[in-house]
Amino acid sequence: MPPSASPHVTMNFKRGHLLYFVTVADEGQITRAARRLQIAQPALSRAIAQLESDLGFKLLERHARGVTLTAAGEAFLVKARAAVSAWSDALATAQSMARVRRGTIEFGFVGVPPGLDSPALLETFGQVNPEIDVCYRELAFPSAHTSSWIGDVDLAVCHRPPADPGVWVHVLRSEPRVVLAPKRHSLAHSRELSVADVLDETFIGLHPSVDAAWAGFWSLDDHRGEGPQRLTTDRAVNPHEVLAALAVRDAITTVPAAVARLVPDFLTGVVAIPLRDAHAATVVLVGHEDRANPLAETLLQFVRAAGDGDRVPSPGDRVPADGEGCAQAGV
Amino acid sequence: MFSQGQLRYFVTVSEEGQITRAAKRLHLAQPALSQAIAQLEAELGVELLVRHPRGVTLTSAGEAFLVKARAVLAAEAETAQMALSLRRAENDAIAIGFIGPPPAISTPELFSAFKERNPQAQVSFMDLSFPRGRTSSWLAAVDVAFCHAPLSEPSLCAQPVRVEPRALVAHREHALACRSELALADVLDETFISYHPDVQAEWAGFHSLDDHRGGPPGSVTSDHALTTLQMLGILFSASTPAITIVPHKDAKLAQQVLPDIVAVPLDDAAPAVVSLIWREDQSSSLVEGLVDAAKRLTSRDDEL
Repeated sequence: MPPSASPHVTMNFKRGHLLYFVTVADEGQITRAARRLQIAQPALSRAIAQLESDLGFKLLERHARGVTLTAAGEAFLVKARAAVSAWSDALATAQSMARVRRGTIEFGFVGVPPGLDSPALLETFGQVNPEIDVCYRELAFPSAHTSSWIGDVDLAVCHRPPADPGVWVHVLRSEPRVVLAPKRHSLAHSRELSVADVLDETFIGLHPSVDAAWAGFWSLDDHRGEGPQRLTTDRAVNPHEVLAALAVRDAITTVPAAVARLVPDFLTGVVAIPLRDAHAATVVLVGHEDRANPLAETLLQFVRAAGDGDRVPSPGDRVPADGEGCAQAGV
Repeated sequence: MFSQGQLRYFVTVSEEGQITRAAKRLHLAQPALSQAIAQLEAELGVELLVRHPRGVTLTSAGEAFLVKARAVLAAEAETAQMALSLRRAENDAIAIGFIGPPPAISTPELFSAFKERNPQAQVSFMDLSFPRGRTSSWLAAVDVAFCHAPLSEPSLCAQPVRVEPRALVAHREHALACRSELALADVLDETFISYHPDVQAEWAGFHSLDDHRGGPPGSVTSDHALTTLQMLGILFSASTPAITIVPHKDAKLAQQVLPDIVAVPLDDAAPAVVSLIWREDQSSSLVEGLVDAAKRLTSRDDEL
């Protein structure tokens, strides 16, 4: 009796076509999808038509201003999306294993690069493990499935992303949240703020693909119990886009103190103001539960061991305790 | 990059623990399979297998990749099954899976009622193996299954069609075969047909009266059944005379077709509920039509 295996079903469609279809469904427009996939629009239209003919049913209704899914398209999208994501997960796992052979770790981060954030720790790691090469990769804000969000890296550091059974979490530290505001903002001259002072402000909007709870943390939804009254129309997916929006909007956001320490140095139009009574951000190291990557494991063990001693520099400690320091940094 | 074929080869080799056996299962020449696996390893830049004189084992990278490769194959199979199901819906076709006698024979009134309201429907029937693994995966090849209900899952729907006593089936030379009726106490200690270990335990247990015994039978056959035909085969061939328990109507049909088989109702066993089972995400207007016919039948039976 053969052991149980996935039934092998032949259905003549191309794996690449599934990705095309999922992208078109997400973008709602062939043109935008073609741009994201970096292929010509007629080629994408042809590929989708080919997929529809292979499947034997229509996936899309074409309208003047875009496309919508047929009922069959909606049902097929769920499975196609899962197949595309399983595929990219397998590919990312294979790439991670290939990195192990080369002695390389891909280390993701959101906001402040870990090398600036914890230089002593990473320097020591480099001295203890000279054979391991750590490469840093900036990530967009977390989206729904943390394991696929960090798919291209072996581990990542950021404020706690959404829980995911496929991801381990090691808490590094707590950091106060700090308000970032443009200099011309009415709050910009405050030395210190309380949550009550800022709850009713307009906050910078993030992209809908960003995990809602994670995004809401930066507009203080955890204190308000709901979203802010007003969000800007921005759809920021990374810290740079938040800063770009801050520069031109009459709106604020909050960031972990480590970010606040650096931002005013290079964005002179923005000030960082301590937020007295907001719950702290939790900075964590996250990695894949099921990738069996010995290098990532080595780094995690090192960070764990360092966390038990005095060697971990805690950047949170260096956050100015009063408004003075921040105001100076903002100059 | 790697192809679906390479992933399937790799998964099969890790399941068989031997290139030779895997090649046989995949209907490939052994050198071709070895070469394909070596090429996959070269493309990934990592070794997946450790070769021993008597077979292969997985490296730790191989273990991690196996999980992902299986997930890809399962997701792609699901996608293909969904595509086939949507294509059937598009073409007014419905695939009905069943366990036991063909449902158009055991329950003709259901299908004539369905045909009357859906004359355009192209109906096909598929004999399913006993439910293994997740019910929704087991069910994926058909639009709806007709059987004693397998393990329930949140994404599954069920509509009872027939509620009837359970009955013993045995070869006519079995010691119990001469009885016209039986009680639980008469049969609990018999030797029962063994179901394949992958078959859902609760579903298999229903056929050996585990629900009344509070556990599996003391004695089972050495051969495992995974399909209705295998089950009947064991009744004929087992060295120890064995019995199994099925819905009464199915047992009577077996007796009609195979005169050497005897069906005896079990008066005091909890009844069998033969149902339509379908996936919420794979429903179609024809599945709804069939369910609707079943509802009308059962409400008519209730009135009688």
